[in-house]
Amino acid sequence: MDDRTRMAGAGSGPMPDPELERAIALLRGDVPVDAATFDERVLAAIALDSPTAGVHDATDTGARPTRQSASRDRARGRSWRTPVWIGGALAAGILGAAMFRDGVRGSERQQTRTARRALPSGARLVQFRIAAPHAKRVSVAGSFNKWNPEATPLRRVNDTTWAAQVPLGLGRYVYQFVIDDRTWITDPAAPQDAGDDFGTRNSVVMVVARSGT
Amino acid sequence: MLETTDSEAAADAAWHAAIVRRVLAGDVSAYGALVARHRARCLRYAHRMLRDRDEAEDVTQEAYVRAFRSLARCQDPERFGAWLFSILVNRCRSALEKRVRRDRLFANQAPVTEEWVEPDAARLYDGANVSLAQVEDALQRLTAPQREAFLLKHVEEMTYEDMAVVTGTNISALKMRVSRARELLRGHLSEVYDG
Repeated sequence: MDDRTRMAGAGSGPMPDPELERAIALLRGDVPVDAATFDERVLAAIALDSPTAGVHDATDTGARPTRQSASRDRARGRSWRTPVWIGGALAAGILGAAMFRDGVRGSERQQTRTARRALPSGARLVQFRIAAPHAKRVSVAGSFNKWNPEATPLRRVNDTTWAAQVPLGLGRYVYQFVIDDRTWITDPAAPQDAGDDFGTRNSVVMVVARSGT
Repeated sequence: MLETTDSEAAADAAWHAAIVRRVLAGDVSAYGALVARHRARCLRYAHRMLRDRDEAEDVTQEAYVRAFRSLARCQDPERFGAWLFSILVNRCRSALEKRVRRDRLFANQAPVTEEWVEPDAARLYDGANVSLAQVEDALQRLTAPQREAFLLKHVEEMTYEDMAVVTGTNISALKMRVSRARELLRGHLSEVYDG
């Protein structure tokens, strides 16, 4: 068994590297999670697999997965559909506005029994997307996340583009992108509102019910 | 990760073996102890690989479920943690492959026609206080195999022998990936420091 010391590069003998060590120390930190909810979801998914699902007193939290909750959990799944453009971006056909993926409750299309986070009833999954090739960090802040630029980071999907998917209920939302924690910009491909009392204009996304397909 | 003594390692192994036995005997609720025991580490790895909190939780849950389903095939219950981690590593790989395919689909459907012009803002980085986000940015610029090897070696502090089992890759290839990852990360982080 190799050694278990914490030195970076232990066993391969690279030179000590303070910058890399600092980075590794940061990466070793725990990521925040609602532990109780996470564990419950895992055990609920496992209860679906167990031949005595619905009978066991399953979790440390005392939650009892019933047959009703098991079937509801089984119904939680997502399926990719053809994205549907809405709002001004539909006419423009320019990337940078919302794209949707439905959370289909009750769908049997997704066969996995992993207990996934369900979309609220009537919600649609909105993709925010922007080209920002030189940015180090991009997030979206708006009326759906209390304008908190840390709440909804985008991730880089290729050399130029960043994206994030946000479940939103039906309604109208205003938002901006935040670049490198300091620069707020409207979505270049989305309609804007009329401006607030300070003359600041925001991008607008309308989440509408799906037309029957 | 703290250094462990031989007796602590033995106790840990015995604990895992006992819990796995209980689960296989029908006490499904005992699996909760395994979930809790490995949750932080699994989520950390998944999050660092995928850089998406929701997806990391989904993937980690999926790994736990798959481990439960095939628990009877765990040949060494004392090393359940390493076995679970190998499942998790594969789930993360699958998630990344799906992401590439999915993003390619979106890119094809709606090509970017307008590039956002970066405003003329000074980049004022404090070289002594690189943030976790900046480190994660740099990490995402590695290839998935490099990132995987780097995280397993330096964040999860696995031995190369364990990494070979978990990843299905030979040790010399893993060492090369770790070395290259260190070199690239050092370069990316230097860009941050140089502002």
